[in-house]
Amino acid sequence: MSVFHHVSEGLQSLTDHPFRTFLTTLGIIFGTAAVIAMVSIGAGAEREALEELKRFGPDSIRIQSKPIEGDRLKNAVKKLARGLTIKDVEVLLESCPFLKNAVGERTLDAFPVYSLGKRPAALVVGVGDGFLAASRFELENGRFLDEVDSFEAAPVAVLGAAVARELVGGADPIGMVIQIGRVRFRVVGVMRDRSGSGGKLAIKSRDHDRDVYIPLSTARERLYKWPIEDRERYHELSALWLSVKEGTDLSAARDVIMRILKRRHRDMDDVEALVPLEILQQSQKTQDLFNLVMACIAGLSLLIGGIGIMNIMLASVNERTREIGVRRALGATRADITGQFLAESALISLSGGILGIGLGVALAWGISFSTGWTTVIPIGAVFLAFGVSLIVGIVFGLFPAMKAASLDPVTALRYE
Amino acid sequence: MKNKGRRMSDMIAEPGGSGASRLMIEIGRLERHYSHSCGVVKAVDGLDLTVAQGEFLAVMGPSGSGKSTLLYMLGAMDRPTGGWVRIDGQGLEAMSDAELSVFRNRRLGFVFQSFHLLPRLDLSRNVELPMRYAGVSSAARRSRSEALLTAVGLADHKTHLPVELSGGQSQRAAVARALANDPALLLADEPTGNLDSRTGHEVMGIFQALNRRGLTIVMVTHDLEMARHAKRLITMRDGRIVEDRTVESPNQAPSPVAFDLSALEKCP
Ligand SMILES: Nc1ncnc2c1ncn2[C@@H]1O[C@H](COP(=O)(O)OP(=O)(O)O)[C@@H](O)[C@H]1O
Ligand SMILES: [Mg+2]
Repeated sequence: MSVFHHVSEGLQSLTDHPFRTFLTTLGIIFGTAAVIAMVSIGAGAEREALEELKRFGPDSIRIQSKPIEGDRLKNAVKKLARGLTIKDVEVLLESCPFLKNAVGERTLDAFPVYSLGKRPAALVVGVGDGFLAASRFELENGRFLDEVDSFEAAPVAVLGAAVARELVGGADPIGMVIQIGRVRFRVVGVMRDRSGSGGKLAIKSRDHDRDVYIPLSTARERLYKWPIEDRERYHELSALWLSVKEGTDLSAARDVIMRILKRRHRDMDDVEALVPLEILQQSQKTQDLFNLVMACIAGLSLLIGGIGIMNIMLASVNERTREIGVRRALGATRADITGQFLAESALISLSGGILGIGLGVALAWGISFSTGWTTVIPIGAVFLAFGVSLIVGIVFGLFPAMKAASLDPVTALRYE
Repeated sequence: MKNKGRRMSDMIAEPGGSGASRLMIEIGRLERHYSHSCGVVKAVDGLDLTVAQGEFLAVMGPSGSGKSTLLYMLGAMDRPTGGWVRIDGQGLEAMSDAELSVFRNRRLGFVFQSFHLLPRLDLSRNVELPMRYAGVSSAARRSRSEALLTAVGLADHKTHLPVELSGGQSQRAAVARALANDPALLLADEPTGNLDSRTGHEVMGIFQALNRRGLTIVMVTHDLEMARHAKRLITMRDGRIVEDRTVESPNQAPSPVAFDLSALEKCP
């Protein structure tokens, strides 16, 4: 007898005890839901990580200055340590042949930005030559700061997208004048909107749409003087944007750079290195742990679901002993009986699987909604859940089905 | 499975003998002993019997005399503990479980005391079931089950479930199911046991009509009134045949009004 026939009869028997069947499938439902949620969260995280890595550059290293205060600052002054400086950039470029790019940046949070009587929320950032390439940011309009600006310490600025929007709405801000502190700057460019691309997952960064870029030289000459006795100004630069040449081992490069900086900073522990690739690898480990937990939940639920199915099928074989005898009398072979009960358990499990897939998709959406994680539901996960529930049904249905098939026909027929 | 089935049916389609003298049932020194902790029950204890094709045999005897046990061994459902059985020229001993299943499916029809219709299937699907196991195409199944249900007067009940039927209707449906694959031998275990005497006679009428068309029938009963519809009557006691006689002028049951076997002639 054909599989198709077993399936069509099995479908009918599902509706025999709908509530009992539903209870039986709960384990399968939760199991497959966990599989779907796990895979979709994993796939989402992976996609997000890849995008983030692309955004930050798989070859990039960030050096971040750490604030030095109190006794440590006194100690640093005594040692003549000078924090992160433009000189560091030059030295690094000279002594590290693996570096493709090194650019310094200085955030100037004490300087407000004014224009047209407004004071938009903005952060003035002095940047060295090559910042655009090193940061992988993109320009929307106009031009970025160039070497001439830098050489002349020109009073020119490039606005972050959010700052430009707040100042002029949709209009073109190029050529307009803004005031930073007491100095007037001409706007020469606008950055592309990066909204939504701030590292959600692993790499925390400020909202670059609120940046206003000016040449580092202009910042130094017109906005502040360095070095000065001001203790707040231990560091000349707040960060370095570095990228390495292709084929360089990032961790090794990081170690070399940190050794050089440590020596130049007289052993002051005043900078830290951020390697996006490593951070993402770290977050991947967290993700793996999460996956392991989910896989355990899924496995356990499926096991419980499978045992439930076995239980219900054993009860069903018991209830239908006489039917089995009648079918054998009418010519059903053992294989027919096995097929019939296997089809039934597989169908119970599959219907649980389908409900579970629905629940899993809902779960993934829910998690995505409440945590802001990206979730992707790969079609492969749906097939996986489908396949797993089918296999659970068959594996756990096998024993009851074989029990049914091995019944002696006469005994089964005479069973009361 | 399918191939095996085909091989089996080729095998059993061979004529077992020639014409009227062909034997449908041959058994020799047949035994079915059940061993218990407290001894051995000799349900069937050394039977010899031959039944020619076209006979209508009634098996009588008190409860526990081994009638059902004999019938299940004739029906390839149970294996003897001794002796041998040939049905329609086929020795059953050498057959595997799967071969016995196919043999039951193609050559035998069963009718039971409590009908044993499958409660979840409507009448057509009940009647189609043996054909499904035989791998008959769905179109052929449908037309055959329709013809059979029409023949037993249940054409209007095709889509009814067994619970919706009276006892007599259920037994007629069960007979239709037993005839699904055009068996050579019909085995009935107390077919009128759950019926009142009027519907019992109806079923006897159907059996006699089928027998007139050449079907061999073995019917177990403990009701002499019903047994006297057969042409031959054996009586069992303690697993042995104690009497074997021809029924002088059997009772003639009228065919039920709606019953019309001619509907079957058109079927393959
Ligand atoms: N599976 C079995 N195990 C043990 N004894 C059985 C079994 N089946 C039938 N018997 C015994 O075999 C004897 C004949 O039973 P059965 O053929 O059903 O008698 P009948 O149909 O004539 O009433 C009885 O004594 C019964 O108890
Ligand atoms: Mg009996």
